[in-house]
Amino acid sequence: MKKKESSFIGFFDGYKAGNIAFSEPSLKVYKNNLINQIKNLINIIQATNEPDKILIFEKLIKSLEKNNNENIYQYILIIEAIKLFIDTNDPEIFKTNDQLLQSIKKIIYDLLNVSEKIEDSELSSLVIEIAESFNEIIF
Amino acid sequence: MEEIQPFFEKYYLLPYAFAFLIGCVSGLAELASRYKDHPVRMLSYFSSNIYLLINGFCSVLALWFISEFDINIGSVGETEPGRIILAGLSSMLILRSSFASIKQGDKSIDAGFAAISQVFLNSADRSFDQKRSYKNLQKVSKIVKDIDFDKAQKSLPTLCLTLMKNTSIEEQRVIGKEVANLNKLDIDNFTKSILLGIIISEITDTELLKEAVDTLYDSIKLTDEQIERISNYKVSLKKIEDLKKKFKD
Repeated sequence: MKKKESSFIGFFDGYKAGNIAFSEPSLKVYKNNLINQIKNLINIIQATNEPDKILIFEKLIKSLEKNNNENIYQYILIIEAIKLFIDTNDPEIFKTNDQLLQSIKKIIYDLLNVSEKIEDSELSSLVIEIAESFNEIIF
Repeated sequence: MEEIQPFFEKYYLLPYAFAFLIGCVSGLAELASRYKDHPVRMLSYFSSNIYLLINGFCSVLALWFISEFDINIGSVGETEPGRIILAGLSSMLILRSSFASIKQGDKSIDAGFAAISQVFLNSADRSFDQKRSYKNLQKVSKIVKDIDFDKAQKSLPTLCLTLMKNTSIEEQRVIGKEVANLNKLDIDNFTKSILLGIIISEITDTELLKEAVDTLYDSIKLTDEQIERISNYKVSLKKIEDLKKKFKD
């Protein structure tokens, strides 16, 4: 066995190399998925009687695409936008428009996944709140 | 040397016993290097003991061949102790030999004694891994339960590696990479702390890990707010899991 030349230089060498080589993209994947889901939601809303409701989502997409960093505030923005959309719509629309229902469900499912990954009580309580209230509306 | 010769002639089985012992010790050295974090524990596994016995018997067989067929092994073979040592160490050579390599799909399988010894080594590996993993997990999770991974990820391995005097630069690099990778994983702090503990304990052992954690405790422990947040997070996780089932389809 090769004896060490310095007490812990190898550890920091490896740590640095590991930091450069490693890229675990799961959160980025969720963010990209969410962006795609919201774009899909915009298309669905455009076909409804209230196409002006896409404005908030368009602004949201711009903000998400502009910001390359993954932080919880981006997810909180998504939650707030979805919450606003759900609150300002007649609950019946989600029961009659299956495309819209599935789109919102997919977004909430991805947000649940994100909050599972990020240890943040604010994010998880907001996601749980929106998921529970939407669950009450649709069931 | 000449004085020893009549002694071996009188007790003619003694050379075989010595060769057997040397064979076992060479096997033991190999197992100890394989399971360096718990070298004593491997002796409690059936397959490890069988492996040692096979090493011993190979050495006895080698000595019998050398003596019976008067094989010329150079000047070493002129004295009984020389023959014993050579036969004893030859078990390492015999058990690693293969006379053919059979290709099966993408794998190539060695045909020979190497394949037989590998069966026992693999079995010992599995037994060792199962018991070690279970015991290590129990010990490590207790040691690191209040540790903040973010605070400990550099200081804890650095302290342990400084205390270890025979860790090679390459081993340290591997640990450094593993810890850096761990840091980037999207998993909770407690799991990261356990994994950090396991990575370190593979090089040190759980005793040294505990000492190091105790020494650094004040600077790497979780704060009260973090503990409360983690406990809230665990409650949230349960709810998230239930809600995910409802939103999946």
